Amino acid sequence: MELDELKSAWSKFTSDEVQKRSVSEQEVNTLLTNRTRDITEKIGRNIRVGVGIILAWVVLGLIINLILSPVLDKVLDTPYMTDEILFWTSFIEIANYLLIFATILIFWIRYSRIEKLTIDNANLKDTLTRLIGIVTSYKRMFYVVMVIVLFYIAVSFSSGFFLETNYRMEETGLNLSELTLKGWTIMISAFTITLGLVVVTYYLLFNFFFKRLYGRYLKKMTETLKELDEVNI
Amino acid sequence: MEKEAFLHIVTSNQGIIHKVCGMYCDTPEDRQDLFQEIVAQLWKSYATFRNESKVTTWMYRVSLNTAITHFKRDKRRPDRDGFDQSKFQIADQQYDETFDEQVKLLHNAIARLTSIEKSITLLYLEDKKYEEIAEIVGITQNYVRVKMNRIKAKLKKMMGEV
Repeated sequence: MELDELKSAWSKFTSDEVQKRSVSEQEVNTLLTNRTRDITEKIGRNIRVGVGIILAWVVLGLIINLILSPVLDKVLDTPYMTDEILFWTSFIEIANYLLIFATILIFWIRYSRIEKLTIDNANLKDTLTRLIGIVTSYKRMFYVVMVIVLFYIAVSFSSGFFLETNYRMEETGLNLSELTLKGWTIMISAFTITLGLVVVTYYLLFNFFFKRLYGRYLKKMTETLKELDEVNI
Repeated sequence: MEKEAFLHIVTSNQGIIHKVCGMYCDTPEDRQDLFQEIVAQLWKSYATFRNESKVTTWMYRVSLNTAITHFKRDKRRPDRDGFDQSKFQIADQQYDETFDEQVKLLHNAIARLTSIEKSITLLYLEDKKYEEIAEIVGITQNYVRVKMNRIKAKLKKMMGEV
């Protein structure tokens, strides 16, 4: 089949198709009313949801630290926390919240700046660059938050593990300096394996979540932009 | 008033959107999703459209940009009461029965093109000049010429395979 034949086949096909699928003004209006979010709006919604989750996390942390822990300490009469450890864990916790807020704020400023460019003002290259910029920044923010959360989990787990071990040893009248090489090996192995499993599980979950959401899309857009650039001679 | 004018423009030129959807989508569901997304993007950009270019050029540009950058959502679909979905479905059922060999061949070839190649091919098949293709896609005429030559060779090769 020659290209001219191809053109006539296309013309015949599209005129039939357009006729079959023709919609009225009312139907177009219905489509507009029931419209769903586009990619940038979806990311905007995700950021708002993220901020909501972090706020809930902060409130939950404050409730646990300021209300639940003192009550439980009194009831159970097990003062696990020394003042020094309490200071450091609270400090790390607050630093985590601030870091996450700062990350989201920086991303939000960048997102708002790019989001303002409307699709009609931009040609394809600008549109692709804009979308890749938004999704890449979102990806960066997502992974920075993930690292902060994993760090927080590791610190919390380590302090909990250390306090619990210390408490149990005191209870049985033992001292850390009396622990044998075998004992140390078992303790360090248990600590490393458990922490490793927790961190790897969280990392895989985060990673899977992002790749499933935007990974394939980002790859496709990057390839399209590359194609557009490669003929730019 | 502004919305009425917009609806009139879109319905009068809806062939552009249907052609773009036909070029980029395989299933009636995808076509419907993309059709809706294009209408939404056109409405979003209508406020800033100042008639500096032709209405059709603007519609082609927004439609193609949307089709190329379209983010396919998950299977959950919003309620679309009041919209006749059969328009996208019935046409597809008839498609298999009445399709002639040439159009099948054309569709098979188009399906193997990249998104950028599809946009340039669509405009070429619509008899647009290189100058207009360049304006719509937002690339240089030289780019269009180089790319079109490659696409023609690719299409000829694909046609030759059959």
